[in-house]
Amino acid sequence: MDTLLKTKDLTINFGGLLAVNKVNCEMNNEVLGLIGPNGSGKTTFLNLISGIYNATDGEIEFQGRNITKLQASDIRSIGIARTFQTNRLCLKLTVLDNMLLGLFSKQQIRWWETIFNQKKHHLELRVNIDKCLHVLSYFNEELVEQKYELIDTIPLIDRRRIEIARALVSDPALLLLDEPTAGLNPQETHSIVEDLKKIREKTGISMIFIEHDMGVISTIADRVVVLNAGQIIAEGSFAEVSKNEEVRSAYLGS
Amino acid sequence: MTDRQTHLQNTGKFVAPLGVLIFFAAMALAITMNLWTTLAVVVVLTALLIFGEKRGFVETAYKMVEKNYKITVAVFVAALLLFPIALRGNSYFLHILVIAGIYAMVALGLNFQIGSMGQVNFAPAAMFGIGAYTSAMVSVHYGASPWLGMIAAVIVTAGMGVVFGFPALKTRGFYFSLVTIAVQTIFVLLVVNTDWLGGPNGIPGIPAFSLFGRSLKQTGNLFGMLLPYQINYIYLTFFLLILLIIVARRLYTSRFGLAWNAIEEDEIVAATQGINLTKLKLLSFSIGSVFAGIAGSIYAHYTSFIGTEDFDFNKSLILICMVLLGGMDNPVGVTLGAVLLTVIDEKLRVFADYRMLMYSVILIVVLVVRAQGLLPKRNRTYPGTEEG
Ligand SMILES: Nc1ncnc2c1ncn2[C@@H]1O[C@H](COP(=O)(O)OP(=O)(O)O)[C@@H](O)[C@H]1O
Ligand SMILES: [Mg+2]
Repeated sequence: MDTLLKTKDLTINFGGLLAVNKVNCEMNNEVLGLIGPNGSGKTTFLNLISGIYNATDGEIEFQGRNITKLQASDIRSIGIARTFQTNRLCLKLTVLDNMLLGLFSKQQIRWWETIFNQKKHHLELRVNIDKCLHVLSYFNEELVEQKYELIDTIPLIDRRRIEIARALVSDPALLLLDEPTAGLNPQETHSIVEDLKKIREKTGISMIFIEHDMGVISTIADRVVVLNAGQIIAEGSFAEVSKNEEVRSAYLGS
Repeated sequence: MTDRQTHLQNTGKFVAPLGVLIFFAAMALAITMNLWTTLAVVVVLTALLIFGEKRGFVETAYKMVEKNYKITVAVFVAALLLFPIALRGNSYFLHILVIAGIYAMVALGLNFQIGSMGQVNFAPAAMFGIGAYTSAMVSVHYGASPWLGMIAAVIVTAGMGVVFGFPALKTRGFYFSLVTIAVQTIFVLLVVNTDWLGGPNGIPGIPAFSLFGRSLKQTGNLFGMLLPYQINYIYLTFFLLILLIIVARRLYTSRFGLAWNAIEEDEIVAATQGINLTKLKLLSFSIGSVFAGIAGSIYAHYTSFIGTEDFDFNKSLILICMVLLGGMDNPVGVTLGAVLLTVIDEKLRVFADYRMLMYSVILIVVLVVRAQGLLPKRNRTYPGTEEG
């Protein structure tokens, strides 16, 4: 199978702190669970891939292409989308507008065309709105009905869903999920994990899934990578990893 | 269609145009009467908006206009065309209208930064000045047509917008605002110290626009009614202003308007949605500057004399207030804010030295009562997708 994403000695140095230290990671079309104790560099790893941070050293390859130096906006355009650990939707915008933002990179229309070619603008907008509503309906129909609500008024669990939908709407090949269950109660956690499984089945999208709940990881991840202090200390199936002594002492034991 | 929508459509057919006419009547009062009448109009308008928003009238009014768009616009345009003719007896009133229209254009351009992107630019008057000086220089020094001057102003301000936009790429919030204050100050100093640009004496003798071989400074005659030349400029200004409002509204509903809002809330989120921050910020600055440039060109060829005091820091503050008072990221609101503040500013002349003080007091009172501005930003709805 073709390699989807590959990092070679990926490193970032925050004034002496190696938050990600020579990470070599490879993934195919799969759900990769990324675990590790707090501060082990999981979020930083996603920030590197999504172009928010620039690597101090090493390389990132996506679908055979070197993307180490690309900006965050280009990363989205080539098919990597993400969510954030703390929900980061635009609170002053409606559900639908947040979704439309997710489609920004897929839209062709130029700024002068929005002024001088309203026909094209409306045609494109129509297609985009349908697409947004369709992706929202992966989760549930209520979200579709709330399209004109401000995010302010939406409960956390639905904000999580909308954030995932906003990432999915541009049809990325890889979805980066930074603790999508953080702050949710067990029922809510279960429900969002079920949503994600359904989406994986439906679209075949690959995911990197950061999670601290081992129960969740065991049900959704095809393979698990364990980070500690910026380095990979173990990888393999959940069963293999959870038996690993180093992992137990670094993570499960603590 | 539901009952409610039919109702909105039927009642709106009369109410919306009537509202337009009442609005023009109120504006006529505000312009022709004394300061207290003007303030009374502002107070009543603010009270209506606050009360109306609580009771849902404002939303109903918006819907009525939307459902009866064509007739409302037709009545509005007709009223707009007749308005200056009704005021023809006093050229000072007409002058206020020209100036209001010109400031509204600059404020609309400024709104792309303050309202849409949340970046407070303290240099709109400098950009307005660059447009005015470019247009004036092209026609005074090179003897070219003022229309060519306007085209030159558009080109130069678009370029300057990109140049001024660069600080916005590196700085945010307070730091960005400081940079724009510096830009504003440098502009005035530079012009005052450059003899070629008239220095402290300004540029006199700027030619007027002419259309179909007729100078816009020529008095008109309509069925025996004497029309002061200001009316020509009112029509020119209003025509361009309406075009710019349409441009602003189209950008607002486009993916670019949305992207600017996203940049305001969270640049990292915006970038991860595929929005190129550099391009979008420069777009906001250069389009905004072009608006100011067009306004500057009209201003120069209308007043026939320009000097740096027309484009100083105070003017920038007034322009910012127009956006804040009118309503951020709402082109119609911004225009309303510009018109009201221009009228108030003119009426405050009776206070001479205390003019700025009174001006500030009025602004503070209005903004305390209604912090979001008179007509704040509305959530985007897209026709064809039924609202619940
Ligand atoms: N922008 C930054 N500047 C300095 N240090 C950072 C920055 N981002 C993360 N870090 C540090 O990098 C380490 C890893 O953080 P993070 O990736 O957020 O961990 P995790 O997501 O695994 O909990 C932490 O020690 C954190 O303080
Ligand atoms: Mg984290």
